[in-house]
Amino acid sequence: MNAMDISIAAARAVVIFGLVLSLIPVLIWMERKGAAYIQDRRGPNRAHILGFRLGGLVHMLADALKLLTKEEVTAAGVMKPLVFLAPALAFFAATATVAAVPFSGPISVAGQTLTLEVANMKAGLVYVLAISSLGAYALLLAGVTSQTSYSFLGAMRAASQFISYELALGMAALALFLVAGSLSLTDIAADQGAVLWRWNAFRQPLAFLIFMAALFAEASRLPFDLPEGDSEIVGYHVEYSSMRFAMFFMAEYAHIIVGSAVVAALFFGGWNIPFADQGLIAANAERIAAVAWPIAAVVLMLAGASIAQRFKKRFGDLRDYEPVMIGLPMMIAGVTLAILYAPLGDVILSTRWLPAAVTFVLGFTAVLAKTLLIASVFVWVRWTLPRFRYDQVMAFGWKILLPAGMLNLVVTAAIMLYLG
Amino acid sequence: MESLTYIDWPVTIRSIAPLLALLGGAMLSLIFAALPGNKSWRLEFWASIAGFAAAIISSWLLWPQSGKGAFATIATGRLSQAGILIVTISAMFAAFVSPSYMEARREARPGYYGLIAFTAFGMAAVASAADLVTLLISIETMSLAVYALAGFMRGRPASVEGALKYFITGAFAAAFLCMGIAFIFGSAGTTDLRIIAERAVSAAADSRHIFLFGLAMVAVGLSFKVAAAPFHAWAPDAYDGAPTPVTLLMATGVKAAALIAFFRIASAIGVAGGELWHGLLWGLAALTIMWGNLAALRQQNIKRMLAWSSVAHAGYMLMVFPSVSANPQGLVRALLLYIVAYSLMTAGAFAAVGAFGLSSGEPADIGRFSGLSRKRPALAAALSLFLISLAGFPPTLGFFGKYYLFLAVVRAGDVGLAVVAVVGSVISACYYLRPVMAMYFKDARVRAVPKAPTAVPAHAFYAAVVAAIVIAALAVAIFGIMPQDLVAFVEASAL
Amino acid sequence: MIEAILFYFLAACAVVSAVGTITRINPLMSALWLVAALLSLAGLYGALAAPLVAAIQVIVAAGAVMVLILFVVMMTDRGPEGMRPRAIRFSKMLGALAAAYLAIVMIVAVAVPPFVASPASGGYYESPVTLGGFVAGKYAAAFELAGVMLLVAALSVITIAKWGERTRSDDDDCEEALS
Repeated sequence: MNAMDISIAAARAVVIFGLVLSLIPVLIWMERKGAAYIQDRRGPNRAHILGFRLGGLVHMLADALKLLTKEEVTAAGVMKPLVFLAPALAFFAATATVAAVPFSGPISVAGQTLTLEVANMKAGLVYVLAISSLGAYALLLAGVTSQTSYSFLGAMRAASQFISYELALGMAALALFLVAGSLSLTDIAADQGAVLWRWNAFRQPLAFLIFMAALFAEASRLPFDLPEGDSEIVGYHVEYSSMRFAMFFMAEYAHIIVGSAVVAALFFGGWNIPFADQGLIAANAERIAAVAWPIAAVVLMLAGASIAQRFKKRFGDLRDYEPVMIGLPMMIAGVTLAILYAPLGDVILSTRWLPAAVTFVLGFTAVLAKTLLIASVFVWVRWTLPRFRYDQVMAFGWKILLPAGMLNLVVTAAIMLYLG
Repeated sequence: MESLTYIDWPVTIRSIAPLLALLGGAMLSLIFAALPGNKSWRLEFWASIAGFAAAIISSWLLWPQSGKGAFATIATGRLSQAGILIVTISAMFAAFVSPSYMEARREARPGYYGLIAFTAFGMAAVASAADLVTLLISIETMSLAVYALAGFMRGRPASVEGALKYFITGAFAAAFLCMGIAFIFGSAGTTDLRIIAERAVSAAADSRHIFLFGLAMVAVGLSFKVAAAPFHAWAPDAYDGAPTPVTLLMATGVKAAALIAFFRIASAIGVAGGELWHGLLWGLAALTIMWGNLAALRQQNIKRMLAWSSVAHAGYMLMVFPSVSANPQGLVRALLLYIVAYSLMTAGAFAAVGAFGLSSGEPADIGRFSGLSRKRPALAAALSLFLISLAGFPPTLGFFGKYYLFLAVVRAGDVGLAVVAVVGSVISACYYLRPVMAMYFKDARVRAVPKAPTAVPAHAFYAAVVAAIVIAALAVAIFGIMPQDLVAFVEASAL
Repeated sequence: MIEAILFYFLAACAVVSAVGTITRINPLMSALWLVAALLSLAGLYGALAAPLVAAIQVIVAAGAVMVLILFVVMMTDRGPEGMRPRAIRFSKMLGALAAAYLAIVMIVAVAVPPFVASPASGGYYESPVTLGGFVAGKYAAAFELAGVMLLVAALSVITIAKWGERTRSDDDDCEEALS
């Protein structure tokens, strides 16, 4: 392992974990905005820094500040080390899974092929299941060590729900293993290719539904949010406050993001763009870049203009100038891009790195778009469906999902055997 | 990857047909148990019996052809087939005694025969395990089912206590076994007994610590299963608390299977153990014989007495192991013959105790047998026959078993051990004859038997119990007078 | 060098956690230490270039101990108050001696090379395909047996647990309390 390898590994780790961490506020924002629009409201739109509201995103910053500066209350009689350990463990279990998820397709740089996940594991799928199974311990620790009945109930529910749905999750994932012949997420994503109907969501629809349902339960999202169940028991984190409380929620959102990324890789071809093969993209990188550059310039200019024209005196303070402050720089950037195209275009378009860069950017964008789309399903479901009853949760997991998963596995195996 | 697609299915299925038959019977029984209501109790019984019968027939047919097995981890030779026959027949005895016993106690609940059949499957797998991994898993399969059976009558505190002791010490023993196997694997690099045997012989003298340690751990784990002193403490309570048919199964099949597995390990890799292994097993056998016999002297309850006697008998059978590498064939013959003899007479004794318990309930104190010869002469005669055979008087099967065993042990060079065994046998005569004396030479204490059983009780399937006792008694008596066929069978099995 | 440090660190973790498992009075803490010990073992597997085995170890250990905590520790209702450490008995001394002996053997095991080459390492157990080949090939019979064993375990538990069905057991109360 030389310095080059180490730096590549470090870069991959920084990119992917940075991505997850920066997506957490975005997802919270999506959640609040989504809830608002589903409930016919406008959602967060007041907080601002020097007039920048960014459609409510600044609220997330305000929330973080509030949580960081609040007093940290630890109830008497709790098992201190474990109380401190629980949120960290929750966050670890939710984010560490992402190490096996490819965030773009394999790119060839300087004659080498780089796969873009933190650790290229032949058993990536098993690793994902292993790490996510640790998440149950965080909730159990949080609930039990708080020494409160409500949190204890929440922890019991969480733990039994986790171990029930883990099986269904594994069953659904095993069918994919049969189809792809590999446990590596990169291999599974590559196996699906760029042909839309070869994606596992279409080849393995039952596995997809089971996996999604189990993922909802694993992330303890509505309709499976009994561990929290705010209207009845509040949940395993009832004794937590300030940033430690926030850690649990960040863990939950991280879980959703990572889970969505895993689903994107497993069922939606990961970095693959429908009908645009990796090789095709690499071969036509120059053409794509040549077309994309002017389009980007034009889009930036038009979008900046459309934002800037919304300027109106409404609030009587800096917020009024937000459209202009955002729109004008965008227009300037678009114009600059267009001007730079003439002197720099040929130089950049003829670099050796261009095919790799274009494949990387397109693949990364595809992964990001798919992840956010799937994550938005979580938001959508949360504000649409009511909560299950506890016995319904158990019955659904053990009597429907698990048998369905087994059936799917057996049928898949039979078909694979038949097809040879 | 290819191994699954290119399996020669007919050969595979034929080579493990007895195991598959047992598994099929167990599954069928389980399916009947899952039917709603409690009407399927009889169906479960017949399903398990069908499985046993199919296993016995297929094993009998497979026995002459010492064919090569389809799996490296499962031995299918004559020793395995003989082992399967022994354990399946003892499971069949247990099943025959069960219906009337369990129905009389209102414990006829679904799942019972499934557990018996799964125990039989586990025992058969133990008897034919040729790999340490298979051995560990099959021992656990057998044990898990027996734990539940031992505690099947959950309403009786004694049953629960016995089952719990059995379970906890058994789990402990499994941990020892697992650890020992890990050590052996660590030193030999494989779990296949044949390959270990090859490597163990070529081992350098100064690098065997790990291997020896693993071997000792495995010996400890198996000693738990055969109830050898000092790992026997669970046996009296578990035997006493369990339903008598289950006690029958624990004393015969489970012990026989564990002994055969023990023999496989000892003959394959005991050579490498050297003096240490010899001394360890020598002490184990001697201690077991003396402890079992002395403790049995003091028992008032016949089930506990038989439990201690089974500890002592485990000691007799363990005598084979110290010098097994000196003369493996002669010793395994003696061992097999003794296992057959011991299984038959113990099964018969427990069946008779169970039949007696039908009318008078438990605990079966020896005093309660007073005057049985006048009330139920046939039962008293059968029980006396089994006890006399257990004590080793000629002309019963027990005598021949002991004779061959002691002779083989002396020939292998362990004269001291044989002396210990003879002393033990002399002691054992005292306690085996006490119930016989009670039955024939004492009057019934009116106080002890409130409702004197005068006639054969009208229990469901009592004929099955009678059949079991009669078959065992005939076998003990006939093979005792004419042991040639049995000896021929056993000698052929040892090849 | 890094491997050696990693090994000794993980091994120390495993030993400390194992000691924690058997010395804690509170069953919950004991179970959590058990998880820690099993996870350290998983780390050791990972350090031995067997990530698949490590991941499976985590899944099995985490799941199994979670079930242990849920249904044994929580249901037995014996908090720290119910458990008091007893005086050191002979059996404990015996256990300590046995453990010491085991430790010595372990050290010998490291110091003295075993009499055959240790199993192939370095990527051998890394691939799921290799492992699958074992499970479906050489050890197919053992694998199927393990399936039967789990079925038997389930059957045993059900037959024992179903006993109270006719009367009405305390278990029902627990379930109601949970739901």
